[in-house]
Amino acid sequence: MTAIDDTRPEIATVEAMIDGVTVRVAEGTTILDACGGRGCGIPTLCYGETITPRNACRVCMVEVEGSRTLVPSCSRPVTEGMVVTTRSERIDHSRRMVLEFLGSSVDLSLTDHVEEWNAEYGADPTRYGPEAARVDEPVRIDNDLYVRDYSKCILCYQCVDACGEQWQNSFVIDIAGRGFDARVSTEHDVALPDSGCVYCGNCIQVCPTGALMFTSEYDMRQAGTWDEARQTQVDTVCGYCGVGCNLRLHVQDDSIVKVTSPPDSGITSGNLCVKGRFGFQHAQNRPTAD
Amino acid sequence: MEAIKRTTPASEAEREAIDGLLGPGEDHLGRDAIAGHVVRGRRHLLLPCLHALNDRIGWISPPAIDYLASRLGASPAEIHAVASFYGLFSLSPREPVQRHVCIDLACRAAGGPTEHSVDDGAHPAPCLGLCDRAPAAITIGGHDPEPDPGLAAVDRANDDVLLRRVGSGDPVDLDAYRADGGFSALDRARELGPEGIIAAVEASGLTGRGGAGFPTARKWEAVRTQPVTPHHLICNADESEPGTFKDRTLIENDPYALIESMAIAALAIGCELGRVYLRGEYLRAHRTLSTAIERCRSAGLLGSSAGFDIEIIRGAGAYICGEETAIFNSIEGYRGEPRNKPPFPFESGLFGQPTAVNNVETLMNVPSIISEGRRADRRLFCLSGAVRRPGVIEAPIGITLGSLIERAGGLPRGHARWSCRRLRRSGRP
Repeated sequence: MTAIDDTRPEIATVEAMIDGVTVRVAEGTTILDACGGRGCGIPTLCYGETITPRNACRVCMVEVEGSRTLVPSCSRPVTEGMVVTTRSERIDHSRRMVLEFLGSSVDLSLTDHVEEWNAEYGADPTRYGPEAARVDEPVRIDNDLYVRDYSKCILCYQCVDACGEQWQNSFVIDIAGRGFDARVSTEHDVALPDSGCVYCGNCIQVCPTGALMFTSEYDMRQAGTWDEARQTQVDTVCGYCGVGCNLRLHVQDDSIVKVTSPPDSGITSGNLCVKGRFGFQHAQNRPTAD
Repeated sequence: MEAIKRTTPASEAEREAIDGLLGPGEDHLGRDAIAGHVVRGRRHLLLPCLHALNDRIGWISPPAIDYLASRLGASPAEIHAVASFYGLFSLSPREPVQRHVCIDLACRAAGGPTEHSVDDGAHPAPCLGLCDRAPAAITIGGHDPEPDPGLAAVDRANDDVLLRRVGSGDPVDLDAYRADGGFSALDRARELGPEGIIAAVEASGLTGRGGAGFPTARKWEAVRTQPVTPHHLICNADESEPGTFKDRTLIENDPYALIESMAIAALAIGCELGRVYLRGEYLRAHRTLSTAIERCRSAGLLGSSAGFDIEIIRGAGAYICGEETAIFNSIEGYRGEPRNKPPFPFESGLFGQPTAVNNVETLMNVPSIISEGRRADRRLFCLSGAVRRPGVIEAPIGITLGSLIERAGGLPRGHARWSCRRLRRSGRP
């Protein structure tokens, strides 16, 4: 009988010191993940569970011994012997500044945790006064399925990467322009129906600030009827084809108001197609009483 | 990706401008797997293509972007993103000849306009690096700049090393350069070999003159010893800091010295094609350096027989592209945004391969280090604004501001002379 060799290749690990505590993690693990990932106390904005971060927001910066500059914890892998500090006067100052710059120039009112971080780091986005430069432009409503409100956009690149090589491979949007004029844009800034958009909505799924939003949610917010406290979430499987994508239905008052997909789903990693994302109306067509 | 068919195709002139660089368009390219790789492998030609459109048409139209996208196997949104990144390009119609008027410090001090007072039709421009002739303006498109007798606005001294040839005769006269000892340092470098060159540079104490002051020998040694090939050399000539014009002065007046310096650097790090990332606004420097490179190729000093060649990449009006990793993205045909470090350029730079990026002035120190064993103890200073003789001055590291102002002729009548005296009295570097 042949013995089956079930010894697995040993995973290379590295040892580092984070806030005085020795940790041993697999090689390639980022500092943020070594600290416990999202929700570990290090603030994150441009970091999404399903997208390789571009460290565009600079709010997760930490100190690494021997490094002249602060380093983005979401992207820097832990290396052997690394000594990391995740909270210090210098770090707090940097985070405060980032929160104030972003908060003074775009609308972060729908971004999770921003209020608590502002309080924690003493950030006051209003301190640049009413004259502070602000991305102020009308909401773009050019199709029936979702709206784009770039006055909420922090240019984190997540939608660009979800549309491009990281998920959908449609490459319909990119960051155009430079500096304060930089915007997520289709080619020639054409309306979505004139672009190559396939309405998979995977950009909405990863948007951390509410700049991209289901039209159904947008309309309800405008009408003042959007109420997350009254919503339930139901996980189910999409019935359109045989792939078996996981859907998370957001239901308010017995109606589906939005569809997402669990980011940790092994089938979708949070991604859907236009049918799964937006084709939910048939489920709630009720017979008319006649 | 979804192909969107728009009603207006690119004009014949637009297609010609692009085909001039990419070859005649073939519709089947990009439709099968192998050809797709070939098509996408030409992405580094995007920036030159955008220049070709801008030079010929004056602006970059949506059909031209769509055509470029189809030729490069990219989406129109990606090409639009790159074209809209650069200040010298326009995505709305304009004339092929554009006037850019400097609204920065030295020019404002010399009576130049503000952002709101530039003439109709002219573009307000950040510092054009022409502070020695403020107030300044340039014209892009439609013509090649003529040689200018007033070029060498430098305060020369007898012991100048870096500025030795500046203002002395025709800068593109190859025979004169050789008669003056030109290319003897390269001969000496060949005898020394890579390790010998790096040892000599190390002994000279040369550090980066672009601002960071990193030891040049350490950078070269790090690239030289990388197992991955090819190795790249980039001369950072994207001089954009307001008030700085030393690199432009060097290239316009002593182009062969830069070519020789790059040839030596390439020998040290093991590189066969060097690139000069030249600021888009430096049209005269572009012409001078192109001519010099052409003549070196004819003389067999560059090109396949020499084992080393130089290519000029024109920037297109983006200050950030002076940052070394932003240069990589710009050359590769992407938005000129800086990359994360690590990985550092010496291991993963241009096209993900080992790369040394050196500033013009840094490189220009090299020939005298190799041929004479000089210490790199001199620097260039740009003086402009309220001095009598604005220009570039070469001086030992540690010179006082007061002495520099004195060498620039001091302050013009009516300016506060006390400040100059005070600087001199303080006597500290």
